Amino acid sequence: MSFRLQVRNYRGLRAVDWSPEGVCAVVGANGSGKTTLLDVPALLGDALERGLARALEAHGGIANARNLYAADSEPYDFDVTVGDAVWHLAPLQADRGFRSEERLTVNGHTVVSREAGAELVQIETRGPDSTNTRVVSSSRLTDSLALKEAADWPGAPAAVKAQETLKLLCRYRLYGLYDLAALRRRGSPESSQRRLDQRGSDVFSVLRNWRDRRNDLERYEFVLDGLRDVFGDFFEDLDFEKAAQVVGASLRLKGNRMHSASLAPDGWFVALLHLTAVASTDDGDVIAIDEPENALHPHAIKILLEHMRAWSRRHRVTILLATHSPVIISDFDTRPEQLFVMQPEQPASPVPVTDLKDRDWLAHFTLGDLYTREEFGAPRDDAEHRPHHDG
Amino acid sequence: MPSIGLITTGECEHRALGASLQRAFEGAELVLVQPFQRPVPSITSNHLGYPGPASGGTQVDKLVASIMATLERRDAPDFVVTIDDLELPNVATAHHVTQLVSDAFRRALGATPTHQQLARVRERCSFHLLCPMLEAYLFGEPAALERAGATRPAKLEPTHHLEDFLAADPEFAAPDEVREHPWRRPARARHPKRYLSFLVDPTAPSASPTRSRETVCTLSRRSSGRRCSHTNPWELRSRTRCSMTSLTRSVSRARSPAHATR
Repeated sequence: MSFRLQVRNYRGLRAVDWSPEGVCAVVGANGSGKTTLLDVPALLGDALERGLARALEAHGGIANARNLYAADSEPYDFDVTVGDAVWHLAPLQADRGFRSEERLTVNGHTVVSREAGAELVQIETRGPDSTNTRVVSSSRLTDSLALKEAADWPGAPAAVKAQETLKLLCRYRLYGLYDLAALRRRGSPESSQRRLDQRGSDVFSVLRNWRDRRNDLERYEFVLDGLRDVFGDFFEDLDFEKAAQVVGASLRLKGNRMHSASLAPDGWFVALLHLTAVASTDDGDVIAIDEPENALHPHAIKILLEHMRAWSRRHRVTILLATHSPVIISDFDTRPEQLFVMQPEQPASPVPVTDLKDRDWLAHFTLGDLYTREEFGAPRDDAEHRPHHDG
Repeated sequence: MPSIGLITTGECEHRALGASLQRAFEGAELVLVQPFQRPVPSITSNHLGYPGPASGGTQVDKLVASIMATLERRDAPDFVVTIDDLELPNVATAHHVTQLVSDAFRRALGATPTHQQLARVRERCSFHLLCPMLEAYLFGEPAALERAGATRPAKLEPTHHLEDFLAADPEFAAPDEVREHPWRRPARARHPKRYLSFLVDPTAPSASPTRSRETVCTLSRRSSGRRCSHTNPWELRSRTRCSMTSLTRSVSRARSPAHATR
């Protein structure tokens, strides 16, 4: 199902219009908004689950949410398109919580709406061909979102569309900020989780649960296959140990030697977590990984990308990567339309690199080289502020 | 004993082309060496237009730099052979690629090359393109396809030369039903690698990784005859290890050397 994200004046993002598909990379200078961009679906998912105020507070603070340079007359809103449904959210803070403007339209027809500042939500309970019966529902919570109300409304045609959007956003996760030290020191708390949490702390529990469930075996084997491909020189298999509600792991090395996971190299942990993050997705999901190159050898990066692409194709999963790595960027040489650039001077970001540079010209170079040479995604060309390097 | 340095741009070529070419020189006393641990990046992944950017710094410039660096090593081979796939996007314009390589050599030599430098490039290195790619040549020998894991005979357009590859297999050309299979891509009739993938196992899922690894990995997984998700991983690994070598074995045992275009 197609996915499109539009944002205006949220934190560092002035204007976003993005329709990623498959494995996509986002590049750009520090501060250009790559991480903020990848955080937007997570913010919206959080807002749907626990309310807009708490979500905004957890994602950088309510006070900083609106772009600092946006005039009062400029819009500040989000639009998420999933298939033929568009969910529009324009946050509006009132005296007692948020009273945001919201709308869910399907093929241009509004099926859920809330006016800015209103406490009432209108949900269409019959299809557009029959009498337009609308039910007015009061919001149960001050900053609960209308989309969630609609998704919970039994029998309403709008509910199905609302649920699709809600599912995509609530299942979205931004990975990359793993707590490796805690994972080494404490292992994973035992749980029945079947999806990796954002910090990766439950990875051993999740993997053990997958291994023991027939329906999840594909996920487990995807991770183990990936690790064997990346670390074929030493890694063979994984064993799990449980003690006092904690799941730990040992690596089985070549020559049938065992090795505690706590002593494994950082790169091994990062690869394990990336692969588990990807394998946590269901068909049609979207996830993101911020700076996936950290701690990884170029060889490992390339193999991990191959595995991500294979999973993405098989399960129609969209995987978004924010990166500065020339190795990752060059991996898009044959698919430059999936490499996106945060380029603030453009009317909307991110833009495919093929919109910035002629495709025939790009064909002569590796994209990683061009990025290193600052041909795209470079800091603003302001010579006065650049350090001088003599010789 | 004279030595030939072989620079390749693909995984399969890197593993097997040396052994294959060595057979072409049976009786000759020479040593084939691979100056790089891994394949160097291909220059033909996309369609290359001509002329290229005058600025240099292109993929072709980097390939040429690799060739010249090999010639300048202390243990330099006597001759350096560089082989890349032409790839389908460049089939109609192969002369663009060779001209770009020629231009890159001129750039690398600079405005005033010495006689010695010119002689080194002119007499001690060559650049070749496999048309459209290495796998096409396997179709010249049915046994090579079998060694690569093909489970059914190939059906090719008889009036076409292998370097003008065209499959004439109705099953392979059938409209897409399941998009998961790695060989189900547009314009596949002209794609030897996709056809080989089909011949090995038309039902295998898309497990497959990249262009260079694709051949080796997807063929190997396919030749296990089972979905990797439903097999014991240990069994898969052991099968994979055996079959990983099948394609390279096919190439290295090929009777005739790859038809090189100079």
